[in-house]
Parts: sequence; structure tokens; C-alpha cells
Amino acid sequence: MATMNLNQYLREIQSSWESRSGTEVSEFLSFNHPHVMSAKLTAEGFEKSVERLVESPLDELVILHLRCLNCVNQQKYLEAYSEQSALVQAFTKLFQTQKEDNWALFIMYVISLDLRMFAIKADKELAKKGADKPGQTLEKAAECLMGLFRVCAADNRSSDEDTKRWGMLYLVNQLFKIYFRINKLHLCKALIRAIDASQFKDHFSLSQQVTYRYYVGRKAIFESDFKSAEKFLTYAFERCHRECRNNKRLILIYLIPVKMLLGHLPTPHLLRKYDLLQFSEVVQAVREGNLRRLNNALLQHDAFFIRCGVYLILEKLKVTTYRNLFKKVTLLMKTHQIPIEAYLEALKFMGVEDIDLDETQCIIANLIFENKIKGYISNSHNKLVISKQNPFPPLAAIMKVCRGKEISVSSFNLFTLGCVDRPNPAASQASGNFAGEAVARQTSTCFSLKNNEIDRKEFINRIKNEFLTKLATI
Amino acid sequence: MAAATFVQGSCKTMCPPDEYEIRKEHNLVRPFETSFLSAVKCYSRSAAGQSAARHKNIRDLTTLENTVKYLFEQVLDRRKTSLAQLYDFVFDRLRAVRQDLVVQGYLEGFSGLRTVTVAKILEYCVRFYIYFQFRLSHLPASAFSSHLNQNHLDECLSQLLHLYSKIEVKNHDLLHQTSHIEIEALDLLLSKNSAGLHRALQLPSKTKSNTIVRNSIEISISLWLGNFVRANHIARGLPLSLQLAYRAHFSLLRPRVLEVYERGYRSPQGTKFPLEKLRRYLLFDTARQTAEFCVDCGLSLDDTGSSVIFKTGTALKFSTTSQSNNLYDQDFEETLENVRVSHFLYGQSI
Repeated sequence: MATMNLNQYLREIQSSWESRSGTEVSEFLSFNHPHVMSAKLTAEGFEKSVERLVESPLDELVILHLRCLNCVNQQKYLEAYSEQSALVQAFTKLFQTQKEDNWALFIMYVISLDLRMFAIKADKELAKKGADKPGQTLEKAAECLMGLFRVCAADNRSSDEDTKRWGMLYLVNQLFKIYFRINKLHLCKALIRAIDASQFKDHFSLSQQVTYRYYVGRKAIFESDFKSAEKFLTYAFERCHRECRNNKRLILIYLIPVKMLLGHLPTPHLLRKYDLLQFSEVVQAVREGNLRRLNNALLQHDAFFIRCGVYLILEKLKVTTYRNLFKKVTLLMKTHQIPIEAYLEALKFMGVEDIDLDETQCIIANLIFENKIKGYISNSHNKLVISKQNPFPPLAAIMKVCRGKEISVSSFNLFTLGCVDRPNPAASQASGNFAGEAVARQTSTCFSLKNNEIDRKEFINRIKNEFLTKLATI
Repeated sequence: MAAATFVQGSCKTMCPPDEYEIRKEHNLVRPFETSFLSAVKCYSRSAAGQSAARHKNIRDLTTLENTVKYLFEQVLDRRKTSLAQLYDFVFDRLRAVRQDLVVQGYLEGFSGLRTVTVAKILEYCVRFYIYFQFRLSHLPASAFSSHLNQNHLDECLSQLLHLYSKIEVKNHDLLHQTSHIEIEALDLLLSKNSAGLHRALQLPSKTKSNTIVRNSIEISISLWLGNFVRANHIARGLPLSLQLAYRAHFSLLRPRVLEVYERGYRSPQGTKFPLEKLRRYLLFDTARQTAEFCVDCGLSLDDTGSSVIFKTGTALKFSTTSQSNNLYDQDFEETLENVRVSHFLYGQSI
């Protein structure tokens, strides 16, 4: 194959075309096939041979393919792209004329892929020359592919067997790859809508589905829709073939942070298996509630995380880390009314600079707002009053993910169980809710500060002695 | 777009003579425009079919630069009338300046040092929109359209960032003659979703390591995590124009901030939260404004009127209240009164 001569090549492609063998023709037009190594194909005067041996409309495609090969051999990728683009456009025209037929889909796949690859190389060439606009060739390639996409999508009169609509998902995936590269994610929306509306949605090949879900998952991350992202990326990961380790790793780069945000930490085994140890420090830090360790972990690999686009989700893990840290503090304090200073001291101990009570209260208020802590802050006594029942619900169980408005049904139940607008000490004590103690003293002030003055100082001392040393063992 | 469709302006006066004549005839000359020399071309939707002599009505780059300087120093600085009326006039005339830039193709490609001048003009415009967004936000919609102002600010910013990317590719050194650091930080602070942060994180490390940019990123991340206190704290150290922009953006977050504090502090028996404290968190100027905002959102005040009550069972309702976009702040007013408007707009008050 690598030393194939021109006549042989032309005869074989012509006969494959005549027998409508899509896969065979596609090989002869693909740059992934060994025939491209043969220098004999682009020898002087190849165009005349093509005209002699190959019939229309294949002859145009072959000439353009060989011209492209010529450019590639001279490493002129901008020109190669130009030829390939002409090839795709010629193919689009003839594809459209093939009624009730889709055997040429295989050809479509290979020439689309090559188009994108040459566009990338062409842009690199342009960049070296100091080009105006990065990614301009890729944008043009996208337009070209959209032309093909429209031909496929419009073929709704043919039978399910012969329809060109089977080619839609492949093209969508190619377009996704381009849009992600040139950072124009908003252009994906229309394509997603088209696929969602297709009756073949669940019948495309598995590999195409996996690729599709991967990109849709990444787009969901970008839009902070973490629940959907988890759904798509999990599908992609689970269905991706075991052997495609690289792809599985790519999927994990996005799936791991999303799952962490939703309360599931990856095992060290998983990270080692897929060579994603950049995450292991992050995981440890979050698990321990160790802010200092988290900040260091983010700093250490920030270039990697930023490049992949997961840096911001990992930053969001700070909230989970605060929650884990505060849970530890609460357990150590062994009470349901914890002075805010306790949390402030913990944060300072963790290396958070320049922090004050105001900020600590803000962080806690956010945690309560996101249902990560069940309780409330007493402003007058500067204490966090937590529920006696499960004040730190497991993260995975908190179904309402932060997407703006949250109605905390769970906390509502807690408050209405015996605890009402008109506080009834007896009733609430019986129900065993946390409000019991507090409400019992409803008649005077809620936490009579004067009586607790000594308690407060004691609390703070306890923090400084007992608990900080415990934290130090982390 | 082919260069052939762009016109090369040749008008060397702030207002094309033809236009002045027409406006004089129809009594459309503004009080600011006492004579032809002080007339400034006004904005009009570009009319098609003016091709032949069109270039005579389009001001060249030097004239445009002088026009902007005139508007800032001779109109805004002189302050002969109310801020709102000044804004009206200058807003329209600046729009015409930007229009002249567009039709000459200055916003498309790179034209050497001239692109730097164009960038400067756009930077002045951006500061203009921010300045007035801040100073006129407390006026009713009939006197000042915050929405329209915001649209023009957004448009200008994206045109500027586009120009910077051209300059960066063609002649990186020229970038230092612009205020691209300030503008990148501004764009980030005004960004309504995480797209701005994504973009900022991918800036070249030289830009990112600049204090202003670094602080802006930290502010944005703090807001992203809900840490309003930290964000406000860092923002206080920003240059003036960025502080104004931050406050303008923050006002959009007020409902969320209130929601978080209400949720975090509310108790079954009802917690009293001092308005003065809430005022600081919401960046309102007075406790009264804060009270008004809370009441508009469905909350009640205590008997003394100095605290708001956060109680389980209250449903907050959010609509655009009279106070939600109010940026007025006494301290800032005083600062701005003492700064020459043109100085601020030229970026000299950093």
C-alpha cells in the first residue's frame, strides 16, 4: 500500500465506487490509510491519469485528494486545508444528489475528520506568521461541516435504513471538538437541540454516544449545571470502552471534580489507575477539612486545572472543605450552641489570612443557605445554634444543588415538628428537636449572655487548648 | 469585511457644516451648542445612499479625539447644568463619535498607532458609562436609563477587548500604551456569570500577576463562593473606576445576599438583625434604604425600626425594587465631587 502506484490506486478506487463500497472508497480518501505514504501518487501529471481512469463525479474528489496529499508532502498545511475544504464542498454537492442512499456516509466521516485536522495545522501555520485571528481556519471548517450537517438533517423522507440522518451525531461531535477549541460553546446549543429531537438519539453507535455525552457534560459544567454534568459524564465513563484509557482519563478529569462537588470523593485507587494524582492532594484536603492543604493543592497544579477548565469547580470545593472543618469543630465542642469565635479560630489556624467574625458568619450563613448545616446563627449571642438531629447532613443526600433558588424542605420539617411560631417549650422538648433548649428559655432572652459570660470564655479557652492541638494532628 | 466598504473621514470640525445648517434651520441646536464652533455632531441612524459626499460628514481620527476632549473638558468639567442633562447630551455625542469610528473601520482591524488612539477613546467611553451609572442610578427611570447605559457599556467593553487582542497579535508592545489591565479587570468585575472568570484565569501570567487583576480575580472567586464579606473587603482597595464598577455589579447581587443572611439567621422565634449591620453587607448608603429594600422583599421590621426580623416561614419575594439598583453612597459622592470629571474619564484618578 505504501508503495502503491497511481494506476493501481485509481483503478481500485474506481471499482470500489462502482460497487458502492463506502468503506473501501473512504480508505482511499483518508489520510489515515497507508496509501498516502506513496510518492508515486503525486507524481507529475497525476491529474491527467485521474481524468483518464476515473469517472465523474469521483474524479473531482480524487484530484482534490491528491492535490491535498501533494501539499501535505510539502508541509504546506494552509494549502492542504484549502484543497480538503474544496473536497468536502464537492462531496456535499454530490452527496445531496444521492437520493435514498447513504452508503457514502463512510466517506463523509473520513473527509470531515481530515478537514478538522488540517484546519488545526493551518491555524498553527498562521499563528507562526502572526495571524490576525486565532482559530479562523477552524471556524471556516465548522461552516463547511455545517453544510454537510444540513444535508444529513434534511434527509427525512428516506427509509430508516437509507437515511443520511445517521451521519448527524458524527458531525455534531466533530463540530463540538471545533467549538470547544475555539471557545464558542454557545454554538453547541442548536446542535444539542437537533440531536435531542432526533428519533435515532439512542441508536447511534456507542462510541459516538460516549463522545457526545462527554462534550455535553463539559458544557454543563461550564454552565454550572452540575447535576446534569454528572449524569452525562457518568454515562460516558461507564460506557467508554475499557481499552480507551486515554479517553476514560479525559472523562474523569471532569467527572471527578463534579462528583466531589456532589459529595462523592474518588478513591486513591481510581486516581492511581488513571494517572490523575493531581487530584489526590485536593481529595485529601477536602476530606480533612484542611483549607491550607487545599489552597496548596490548587496552587501546585493550577496550570493543569486551568487548562482543563476545572479550576473553578475545584475552588468551589472550598465550601465543602469549610463544611468538613466546621463539622470537626462542632463535634469537638460537644454542644449545640457554638460561639462563632470557635470557627474563626479554626479558620485562622488553617492559615486563612485577614479573616474576621463578619466573614466567618458569612461563610456559615452560606452553608446554612445551601442546606449543608441545619441550624441558625444567633446574632445577639454570636453563636451557631445547630439542630440536634443530623446538623451536618451527608453531602450526597442534599439533593438541591446550588443553582440559585433553594427551598429547604428538610429544614422546614425540622422547624415545624413541635416548634412553632408561638414557641411552646414543653412540646418542643418532647419532640427532641434542637430548639428545645433554646425555646425553653424563651421567656427571658434566648441565650442569657450574662449567665454565660464565663461559659463563653471557657469555650474560647477550650478551643485554644484542646481543640487546636487536636486539629494539629491532622 | 472588505476595506472598500469603509469610509475615510475627512471632516475636521466637531460638527459637519451640513448638519449644523440643517439643525439650525429646524431648531435642533442644543443649549450647549452656542455657535458652529461649539456644535457637536449628533447621533443618527446611518442613512443609506449618502455614499458620494459621505466622507465630508465623517470626522477623522484626530478630530474625534479632540471632540471627546472638548466634551469632557468644556462641557462636563464646566458643569453649567444638572448631571442628568450633561449625561444626556454627552451620551448622545459620544455615541456619534463611536459611530464615526465604526464606519471608518477602526474597530475591525489593526491600523498601527491609530488603533491605540481608538482604544484610548473607547476607554474614555467605558469610564464615562461607569461614572454616570454610579452617579445617576438613584434617579427614576424617566431621568436616567440604567439599562441603556449598561448596554452601551457592555458593547464598548467587548469592542475594546477585541481591539486589544488585535494589538496583542500585531504589535505586543503597543499594548502598554493602553489601559488594558484596568479594562480586563473591569470586564471581569462586571461579568454576570462564570464566563468572565474562565476568561480571566486564562490570561497570560504577566497580566494575571498584576495586583489589580489578581485582586479582581480573588473578588470574583469570593463572590462565586458566596463570600460577600471578603469580596467587599478586597474591593475597597481597588482603584476608583473599578470600585464603581464593582458596586454597580454588586447591586445585582443584593437579593442573593439578603436571601443568604435571611436563611442563615432566621429562627423560629424570629431573629432581630440590626439594619446598620445589614446595610454594610448590602452596600447601601443608609439604614433607611436598607429598611426599604427589606420591606419591599417581604420582610418586617421590629418596633424600633432599627432591626429587620428574620423568621422561619417568611417568603421572600424579589422584583426590581426602588432600592435594588441604587448605588448612591455619600462617601463616594464626596470623592467624586472632588475629582475633575475629565481626570476620572482619562483614567488619571487611579
